[in-house]
Amino acid sequence: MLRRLLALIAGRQGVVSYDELARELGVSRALVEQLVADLLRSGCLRMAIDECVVEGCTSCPLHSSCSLPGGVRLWELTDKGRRWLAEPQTAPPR
Amino acid sequence: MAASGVGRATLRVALAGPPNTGKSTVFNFLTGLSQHVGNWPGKTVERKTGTCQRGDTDFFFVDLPGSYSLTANSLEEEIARDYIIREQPDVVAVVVDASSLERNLYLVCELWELGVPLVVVLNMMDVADGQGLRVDPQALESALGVPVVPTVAARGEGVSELLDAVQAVAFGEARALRPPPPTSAAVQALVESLDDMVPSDLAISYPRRWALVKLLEGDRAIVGAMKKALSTNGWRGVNSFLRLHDDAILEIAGARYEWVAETSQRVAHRLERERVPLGERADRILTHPVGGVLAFLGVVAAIFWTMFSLGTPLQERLDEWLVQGSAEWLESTLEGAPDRLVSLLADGVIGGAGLVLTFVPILAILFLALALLEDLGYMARAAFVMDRFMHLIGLRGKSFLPLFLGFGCNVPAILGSRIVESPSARLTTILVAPLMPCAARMVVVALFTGAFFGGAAALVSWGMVTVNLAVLALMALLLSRFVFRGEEAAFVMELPRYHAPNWRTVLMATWQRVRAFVVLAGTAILAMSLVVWALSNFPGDNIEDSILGVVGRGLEPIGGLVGLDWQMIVALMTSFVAKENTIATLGVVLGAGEGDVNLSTQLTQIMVPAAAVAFIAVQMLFIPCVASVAAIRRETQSWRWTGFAIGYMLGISFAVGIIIYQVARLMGWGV
Repeated sequence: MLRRLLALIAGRQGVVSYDELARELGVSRALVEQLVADLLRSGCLRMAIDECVVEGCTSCPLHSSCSLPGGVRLWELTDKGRRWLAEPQTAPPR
Repeated sequence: MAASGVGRATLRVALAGPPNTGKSTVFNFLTGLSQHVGNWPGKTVERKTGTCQRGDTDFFFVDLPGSYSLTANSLEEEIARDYIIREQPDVVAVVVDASSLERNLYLVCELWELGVPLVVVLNMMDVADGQGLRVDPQALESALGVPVVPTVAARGEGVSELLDAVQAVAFGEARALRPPPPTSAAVQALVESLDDMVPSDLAISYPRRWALVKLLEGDRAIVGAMKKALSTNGWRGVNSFLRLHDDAILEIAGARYEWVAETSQRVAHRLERERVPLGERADRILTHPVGGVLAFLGVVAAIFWTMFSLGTPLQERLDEWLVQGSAEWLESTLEGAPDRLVSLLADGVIGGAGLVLTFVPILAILFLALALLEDLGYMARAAFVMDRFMHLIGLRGKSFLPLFLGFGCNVPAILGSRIVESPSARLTTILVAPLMPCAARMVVVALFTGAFFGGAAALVSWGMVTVNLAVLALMALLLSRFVFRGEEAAFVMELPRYHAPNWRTVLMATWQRVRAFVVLAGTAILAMSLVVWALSNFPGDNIEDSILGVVGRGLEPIGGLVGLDWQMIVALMTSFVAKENTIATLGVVLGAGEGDVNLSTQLTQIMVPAAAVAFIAVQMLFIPCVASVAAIRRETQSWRWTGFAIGYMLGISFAVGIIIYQVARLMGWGV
């Protein structure tokens, strides 16, 4: 299932939500959260945004009106994740 | 199992389970006051033990730290795992949340694989029931071959049956464990290869086959133990093998997840469709490719409607009180003072910066709405939907996030573009970010639509924002199609859960934004108002002959293309400092602080609706404010691209303004 999720993410363009992945895998959102956590731990995914989004905003007189949505976390595929998909050393079961 | 007196037996029972499954509630109910709290040896993690008696049996319970798996990802998980494996309790009772089976069954699967004496405690059955889930303990028992006990530990329901099951398993009455699902042939082959590489007499304190699988999963503790136990050469060979097959975890853990999903579907059934949580139902619409965009446009329309129906009347009252009232007070107080001084205070200060301040109620509503939507969790959904829109116009990757910032202010949108890795996509993002309709532009839109379109002001404002976004889309499409080509990228977005707004947070965010606006009005806008007043009063007494008048009339032929006279062109030019300066400048040059007629009425006397709507379009697409220009220069490190941004926005703003002016005249708005 981890390989299926990895392939799903790699095959998408743009942003995909946990709910969409859950629908496509036929599982619950809670399980997708767990799968994503495993892919993060194994280094197949990494966090895509960091603190630099808000760095430097203080130069703007209206910086406090910044509306970056809170609570959003964005993950992206790593080279390792792509490699594991493209060149599986442990062949998936047939 | 230990004998604890004549005819008595003591059973050691480990209570395992993921966090938040009610494990401690089960423990507390079973042990009551006979608890002992300390720390795990050599660790700072709390260790709780307790006892209870039943018939001839004493039960000694150990409440293990919460863990989702037997892989030691944290200290808590390592403690729980090592206790189960090394201390070998008589029974492991694993507590799972019946309402969240898919999240909890992974640990059950691992314990099942390990072959320990197991009882599954299906806790929180009442919560599952409340969510419309029917969980079948028998089905789970059939799948696992171990006792499954449904409980509601908070009420003590099923706890007695749990002790029955523990006794049955401990005394061998219910230990007919079914074999766990077979591992894939590929994984089996890997385990066998490792088995050949590791000496059969190796001393490690874990079951051998289980340790080999964990080794393939990259478990740090097992890797460490194996490295320590093997010879240098032996470890080198094993390590090379592990590195070559570092993707084995996908197969091993993936197979467990397949079992978890399949078993959950067999065991739990949702009884009522309408019991699907509200958040999930909302997301089906709000993150839908079409429904989400329509919902977003609806939300924007609702914000505008609120701004005009509640904010505009308040703005008009404030205008009467602050601008007209102050002007009258000044005239009576400074009677006999030099005309220039009265004019400076009435026109420059009150008519300029003071007038801008009257728009606080409208902006406060906008900021309140944004803060409320953010706190509810909607803004993240809007950003998610925006990615779909960005994708259509060729902006791929992370561009949607910085662009989304532009709704508040263009500066963070431009600065935030540095998260976009591809240089071409980053440059495209920087160049189109100033086209996002920021809050400052909304103030000007509110003034003009309110003055000219009355009850239809919200609709016209919404239309203008849509035109603005369409221009942004077109520009991004052209840039990404013909100038820069961005690469495809996929992202997984974790959306925050919806929750009831925290009004303190919402009001604090609103207050901070309003305060920033007031500070801006009292500094940059006030300074610019005074400059404009000076330029419109010197030399001579007639504004037409002043520096501002001469420059403005020089630019009038350009303004004529969109039906604007020189005052409007001058107001537009001063928006370079800050967009709100448009209002301040109009207040100064039209003398808003002098008479009984407010600025809105004055505007309707000097321009036709076709020119007004064209002016709004020009203002929204006009060259960015000086802070944005500085940000563009900083991020592109190029005067050429900064000049390009200014040039194309100047060109587009007037081109769109001319088109709108001509179309509006054809619609009869030219009189």
